[in-house]
Amino acid sequence: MKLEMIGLNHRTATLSLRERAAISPDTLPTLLERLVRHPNIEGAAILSTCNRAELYLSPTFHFEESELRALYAEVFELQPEDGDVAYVYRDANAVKHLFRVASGLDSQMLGEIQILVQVKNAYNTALELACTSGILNKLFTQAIFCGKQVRTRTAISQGAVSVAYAAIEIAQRLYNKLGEKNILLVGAGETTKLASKYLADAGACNWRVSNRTTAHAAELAEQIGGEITSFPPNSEDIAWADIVVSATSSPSAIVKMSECGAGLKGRKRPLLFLDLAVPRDIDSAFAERDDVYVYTVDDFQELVAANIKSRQKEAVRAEELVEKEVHIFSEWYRENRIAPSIQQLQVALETIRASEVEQQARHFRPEDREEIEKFSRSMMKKVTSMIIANMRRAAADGNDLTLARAVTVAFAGKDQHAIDEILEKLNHELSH
Amino acid sequence: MLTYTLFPAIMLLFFGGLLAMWVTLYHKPDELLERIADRVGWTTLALFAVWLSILTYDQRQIPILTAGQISVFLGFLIWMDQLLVQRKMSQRMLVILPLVTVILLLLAGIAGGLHHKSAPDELHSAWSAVHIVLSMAGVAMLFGSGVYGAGSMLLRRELMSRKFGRLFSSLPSMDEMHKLRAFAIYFGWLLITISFASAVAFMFLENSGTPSFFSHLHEMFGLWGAASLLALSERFRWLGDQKQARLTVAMSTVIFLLITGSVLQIFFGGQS
Repeated sequence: MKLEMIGLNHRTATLSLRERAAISPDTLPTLLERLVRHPNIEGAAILSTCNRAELYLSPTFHFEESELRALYAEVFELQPEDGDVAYVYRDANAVKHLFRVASGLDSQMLGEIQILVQVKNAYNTALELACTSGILNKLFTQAIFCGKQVRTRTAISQGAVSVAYAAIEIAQRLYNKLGEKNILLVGAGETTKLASKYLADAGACNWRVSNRTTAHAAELAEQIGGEITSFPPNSEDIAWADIVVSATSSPSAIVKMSECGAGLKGRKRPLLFLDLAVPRDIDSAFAERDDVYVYTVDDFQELVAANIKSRQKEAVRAEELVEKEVHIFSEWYRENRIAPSIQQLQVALETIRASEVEQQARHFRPEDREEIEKFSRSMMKKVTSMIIANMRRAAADGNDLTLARAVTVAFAGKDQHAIDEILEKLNHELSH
Repeated sequence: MLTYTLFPAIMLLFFGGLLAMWVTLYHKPDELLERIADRVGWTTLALFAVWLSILTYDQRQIPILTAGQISVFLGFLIWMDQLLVQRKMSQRMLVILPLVTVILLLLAGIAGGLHHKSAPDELHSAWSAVHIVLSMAGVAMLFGSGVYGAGSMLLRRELMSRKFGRLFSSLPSMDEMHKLRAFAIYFGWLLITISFASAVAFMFLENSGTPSFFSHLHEMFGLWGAASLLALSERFRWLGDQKQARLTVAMSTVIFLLITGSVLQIFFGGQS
C-alpha cells in the first residue's frame, strides 16, 4: 500500500505547538499545490483543526521517516525538532488512524461530531484543487462513511458531556418542544447566559429574567427577547414557568417554598428546576412535590459521568466497526493494485475481438451482424472474467502478482512505456 | 388449513424475531438495526393483514367468530396502533411492551381455538362485526394509553432516582408521552362509545325492542364507564401528570380485563 500520514494532536503536542502548526484556510491551497508538485507525491490532503495537524500522502515510493518529518516541519512551518514529536503511520495503520479520527475515537471528547465535518472539509479542499490521488479519494470517502457508520450504529455521540448541556438534556427529557415552554432565568451571570444560549439553540423563546441588579436583567432580557420580573421571583413567576434555571452567587436559597410555594397550588403540569448554583438557589422542599423535578450541579455531573461511561462502552463497538472498514479498504486495495493490468487486458482483447468481427463480417449477411457482435462479446467477456477472477484471487489470497505481471507482458501493446509503468508499479507493490 | 396452522406459526416467528431485535436494540443502540426492525415490523403487519383477510374470506366474516379469533384480531389492532405511533416518533423502549402483549394475544388466540365451527349465530351479522371491530379498536387505543402512562412512570422513576441509564435516554420525552396518552384516551373512548351505541341499536332493531339476549351488557357498560372516567379526568385535568399516568395504567388494565370478561361471556356465558 502506498499511504503515509504524519501529524500531531492534543495527546502528543502542547497547545502552543498545536497553535504554531495550525494552518489557516487561506494558505491551505498553496501548501497542497506545493506538495503535489513534489516528484514523489501523487496526492496529498491536510487535516488541520484546533486539536490536530495531520498530513496524508500517497507517495510514488515510501519516504524515509526522517525525510517525512522534515517535510512535515517544512509544510507546517515548524522547527525541524518539532517534527520529531509527530506520529507517523503507514499503509494500513494510516488507514486505521484516519478511520478512528473520523469516527471521533481519537478526539479529546470521545465521539464528538465536529471532527467528521472537518475530515469532509479537508478532503473536499484537496479534491477541489485536484490534489488527491485514487487511493486518497478512496481513503477519505471510506473514512467519512466509517465516521457516519460509527455514529449511526453505536451511541458514541449520544448524551451531553458538559454540565450546561446536561441541564438541557434533562429539560429535553421532560419537554419535547422547548419553544412552547416558559423559562424563568434567575440570575444574569455567565452561567445563566450560557444556559439560555443552549436553551435558545434547542428552540426556547419564552423568557422571564429575574436578577438582583435590574440593569443586568434588562440587558439579558433584551438579548434573548424576554421580559424582566422581580427578584427574587414570586409565586406568580413560578406558576407561569415550566423551567426555572438558576445560577446566582447567593449564599442561601433564592427560590423558597415558603415564598413561592403558592405558585404550585392547583398546578397540573410538571415544573423543572435546573439549579446551576453552588451553594444551591432552589429550596430542596420543592423536590417533594409529585410533578416537580429539581436538579443540581451534582446531578448534572452525574449525568455527564454516566454519558462518558456510556460513550466509552460504545467505543469498543466503534473500534470493531473501524477494524471492519480497514479490512474492507485493504481488500479493495489488494484488488485494485492490479487494476491497470486488468484494464490493459480488457483493451487488448476488445481490440482483437472488434478487428476479427470486422474482418469476418463479409462472410455473413448484414442482418446477422448484431448476432455476431453479441456472440463475440459474450465469449470474450467469459474469457476475460475468468482471467480477471484468477488474477484477483491470486493478488488477494496469496499476495501473488506474478499472474498480473504475466498477463501484462502477454497482452502488451505497442506502448512500451505504459507497460513498463504498470510493471514498475507491480514490482514496487511486491517489494512491500 | 394453512390459515389455522402455518400462518399463526409464521406470525409467532416474526413477532418473536421482532422482540429479539428490539431487546438487542435496548442493550446496543444501532440505527441501522432499528431501521431494519421498523421495516420488519411493517412487513409483519402486512402479513398479519393478509392472514386475517384470508380468514375473513374463508369464513365470510371478519375474525370475530371465536374467542381465539378476537384475541388475534386485538393483537393485530394493537400492533397497527404501535406502528402508526412509531412513524411519528422514535420510542424504542415502548415497542417491547406492545410486542410482548401481541405475542401473548397470539398464543391465547391459538390456545383458545381459531376454528369457527360452533360460533353463535348473531356473530355472523354485520351489526356485530361493526360493534366488535369498534370495541377492539377502542380497547387497542386504550391499551396504548396504558403503555404511554407506564412510560411516563418509568421516565419519572429514572428522573427521580438520577440513574440516567438506558431507559432515561431511550424513552420519549414526558411531553410526548403525555400527548400520545391523551390522544389514545380520547380516541379510544370515542370508539368504545360508538361501539356501545351501535350495540344498543343492534339490540333493539334485531329484537324488536327486547333487550333480553344481550349477554355481556354489564361488562360493556363497565368498560364504557371506565373509559369515560379516564377521558373526563384527562380532559378536565382532575389530577396532576403523574397521578393521571397512574390512573391510565390502572384503568387500561381494568378495561383489558373487562373486554376479556366480555369476550368470555359471549362465547362461554350461556345466553348469547
